[in-house]
Amino acid sequence: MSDAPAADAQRYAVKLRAGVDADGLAALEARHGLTALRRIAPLRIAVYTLTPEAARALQSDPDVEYVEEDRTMTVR
Amino acid sequence: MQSKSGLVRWVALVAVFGAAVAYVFAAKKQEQRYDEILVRLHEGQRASAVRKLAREHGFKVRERKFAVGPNAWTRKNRVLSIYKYDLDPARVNRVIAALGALRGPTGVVASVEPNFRVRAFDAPNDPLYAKQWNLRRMRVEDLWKKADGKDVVVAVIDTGVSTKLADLDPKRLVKGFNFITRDDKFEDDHGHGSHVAGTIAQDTNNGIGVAGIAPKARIMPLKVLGREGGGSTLDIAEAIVYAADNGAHIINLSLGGGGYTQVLEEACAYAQSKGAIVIAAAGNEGQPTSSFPARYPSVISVAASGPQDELAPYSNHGQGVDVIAPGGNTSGAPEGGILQNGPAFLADSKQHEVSKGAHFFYFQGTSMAAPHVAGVAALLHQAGVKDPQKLRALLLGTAEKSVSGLPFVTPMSALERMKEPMPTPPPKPGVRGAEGQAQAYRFDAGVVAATPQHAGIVLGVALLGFFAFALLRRKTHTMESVVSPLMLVGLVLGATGLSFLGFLQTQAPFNVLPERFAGLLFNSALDFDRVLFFLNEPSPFWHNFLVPALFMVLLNFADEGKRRFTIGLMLGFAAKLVCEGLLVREIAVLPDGFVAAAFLVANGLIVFMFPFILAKR
Repeated sequence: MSDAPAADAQRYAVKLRAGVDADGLAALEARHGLTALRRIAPLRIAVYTLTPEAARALQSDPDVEYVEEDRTMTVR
Repeated sequence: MQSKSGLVRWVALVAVFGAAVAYVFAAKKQEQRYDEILVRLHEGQRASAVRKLAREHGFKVRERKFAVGPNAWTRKNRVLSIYKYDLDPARVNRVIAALGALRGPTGVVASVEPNFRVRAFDAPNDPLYAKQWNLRRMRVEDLWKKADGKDVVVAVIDTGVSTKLADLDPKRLVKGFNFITRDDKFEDDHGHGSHVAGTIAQDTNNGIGVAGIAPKARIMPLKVLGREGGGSTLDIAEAIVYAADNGAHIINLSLGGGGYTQVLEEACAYAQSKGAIVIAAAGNEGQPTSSFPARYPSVISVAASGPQDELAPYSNHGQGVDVIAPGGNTSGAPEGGILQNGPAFLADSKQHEVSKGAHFFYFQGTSMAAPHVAGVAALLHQAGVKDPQKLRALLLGTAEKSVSGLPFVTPMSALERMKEPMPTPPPKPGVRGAEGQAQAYRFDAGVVAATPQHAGIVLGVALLGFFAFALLRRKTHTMESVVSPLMLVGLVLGATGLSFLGFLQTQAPFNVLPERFAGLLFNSALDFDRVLFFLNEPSPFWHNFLVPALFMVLLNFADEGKRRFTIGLMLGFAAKLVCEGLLVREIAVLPDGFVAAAFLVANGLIVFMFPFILAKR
């Protein structure tokens, strides 16, 4: 795991399965070597900067409900 | 026997013609909404100067006699009503400005008050209020007698809100946050968020600038969009959760794009579960579907209308859209936009007005429509409608069908009927990823608001009856030789095209065809100038008798079938021109009103002679 983010890294939301608590999240982050940029606790979502490979790896983790990439929105 | 069937034919013809005339006049009556300006004269002053000025601007004048109240009519207190049967705010504003010159303690006029289908004497003293056609349309003056939004917190999740606005007291901003820089510096570096906040809660009756819908509401400025107006879905989701957890009662999302995201759908559902009402812009793609996030089931999606209640040309509509509210339409004049206070740095690049040194900008967009509903929601919340589901049912249940075909938010009715049980609105269809895309092609009842066009069909049939009757009387023709199905096909194509199937235009496959080609099917051939060149007004070079004559020559009518089709087409054209003259009364180049009407009707009557020429052959 290199510390410098890869060129194609971007922000992803990682949604935890129901029942995964703070300890579960800590274990998940340890497994994948991640540090959360921030958490949206009521939604059980944590935000990470990930490469597409890392995002795919998280997607198949049993504690993860889904992984979704950040997108751009604009004024209307 | 012969005479009896003749009588039946007479009665039937008179009935059809009578029905057509009645329909045309009923349609016309429906259009008679008017803007009125009330002018109070100083005691003893003559009305002639006001009458002259009004006539110069094409307005009508009558004396208004109020029977009761402080405005009760006396000879000392003469009130003139100046009115016009159209809703062009720019024109009304020009007259108000011109009347201003006659004002003053020594002038003719004591006061000038616009009366836009609301009683005039409650107007706020904000000097640019006269330009807020959108607020008058919402009947704010009546609303403010019942609610002002006091202490309701509306989160504006946007480009931030400026704290330097002359017309938005920073004391009414609650603690905000900047989700981009992760600090509490939410100052607006774009202008959009300030404008949106202004529509909701601009300082009102303060003698500066403009008014807002819920003038005592508090704004929670949450900055998620940067200087260029763009931002991150995840920041927005976080801001929605923050707003719901930190006391926002209403959440306004004048943003969109990027398609479906599950995170945002969950954030909106969470906010609703915490009792917050989430309102979002339907999107500016001109598509028959709402964009996201407005489209999520927990969000009220708002389309935008212009000054004449028309669907704004850019506004999304159809699937997933809940209501329509004013969002502005500047395609005619900048005054067709929504006017609110904005940061001074926009003044170089944007159309604006100045009041007491502050800048006020005309914006248009579904972004401007959503805060109208957010402001209304704040009033309803204060009045006691706090549950998001209930508020949604109330807004949808009391909305009125408007000329746009979409339900127009009607806050006065919502306030009056808030205690009544409302039907539960049908749940918005769940939308996820590819499924959401697929729904873009679902069948979808669209805009059905084409009174002049419907009248065209009815009048066309009446003309056909008249035509048939005239020929039959001469005994040279029989019923079979006069009326045929082909003639009816021609009539419909000439009068309206397939406009009565206009809702199909927003469906596949027509919604993927270029607009101007799909439009050819759904409009009378006499409207091809408008369809092909996107004209706002019909062109006199196409809407005249020469074009039908050209069609008549091109369609070789040696063949009996073609001849009958052409007869129908000519009858349709004639009906189309006459209806346009009576109902629309406008055409490019020529002045609107009588001249345009006379031109169109005269051409229509000329075209009505063509079928007789064809029948002689």
